Amino acid sequence: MRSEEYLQKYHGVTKFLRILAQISFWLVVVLGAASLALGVATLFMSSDSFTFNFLDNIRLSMDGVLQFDLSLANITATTKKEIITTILFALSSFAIIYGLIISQLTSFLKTVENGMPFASANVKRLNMIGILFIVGSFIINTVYGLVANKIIHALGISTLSVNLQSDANMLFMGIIIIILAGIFRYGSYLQDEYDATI
Amino acid sequence: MAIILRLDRMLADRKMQQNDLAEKVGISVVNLSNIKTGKVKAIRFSTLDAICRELKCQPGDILEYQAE
Repeated sequence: MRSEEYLQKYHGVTKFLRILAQISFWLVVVLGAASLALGVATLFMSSDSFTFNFLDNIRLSMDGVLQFDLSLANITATTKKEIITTILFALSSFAIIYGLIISQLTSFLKTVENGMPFASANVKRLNMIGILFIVGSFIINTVYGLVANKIIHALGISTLSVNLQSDANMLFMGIIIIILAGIFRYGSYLQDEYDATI
Repeated sequence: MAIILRLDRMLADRKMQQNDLAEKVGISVVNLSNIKTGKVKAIRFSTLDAICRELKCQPGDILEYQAE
C-alpha cells in the first residue's frame, strides 16, 4: 500500500480524533478558567460563605482505584474553604498541563489530516508533548498529594499519609513520546529529501 | 554545489518553451524551474530520462561538473 493510500485510510480517523481533541481542549480551557476564577474568588470570600452542607458526604478517589467515603460534616467552615480552594487550584493546574498537551496534539493531528505527518513542526510538537508528560508526571502527583494532604489533615485521619512520587506511567509515556519525536525527526529529514527530489 | 544544471541552455538550443517541456515530462513548471535554477537537491532517473527523451540529448548535456 502506498503512503498516500495509508494517509487516505486514516484521514477519517484522524479527523475524528482532531475534532475530539479540539472539543476536549475547549472543555479543559473552560474548566481550567472556571476553576481558576472560582479558586481566586474563594480566596477573597469569607469563611461564613462555606457553611453549605452538600459536601458533607463526598466520595473521593485519588488513584482511581480506592474510593473513600468522607464525611466533612464536622469540619469548620474555614477548613472547608481551604479544601475547596485547594481542589479548585489543583483543577486549574491540571487544566494547564492537559490543555497544553491537547493543543499540541490538535496541531499534530491537523498536519496528519492534511497529509503532512512528517512536517518539521511535528518534531517540536512531539517533543513538547513528551516534556509535558514528564513534567506532568511530577506536577500532577504532587498536586494530588497536596489535595490529599489537605483533606487528611482536615479530617484528622492519622492512619493515612501522603506518598509523593512521580506517576510512572505518565513518565514512561513521556519518554516514549520523546523517542518517537526522534524517529519523526528522521522522518522529517527523509520527507525534506523526498520533497526536494524531482 | 559543483554540479551545474544546463537545462536553460538545452531549452534554448532546442527552441523549446519551459512550459512545453514541463507538460511533456509530466512535472510542474515550478519544479522544472527549480531544476533550471539548481534549487533541487536531487533529480530522479525517471525525470532525467524523460527530459533527455524530450530534448533528444544526453544527461551530460544537462548536468555539468565544475570544480569549486
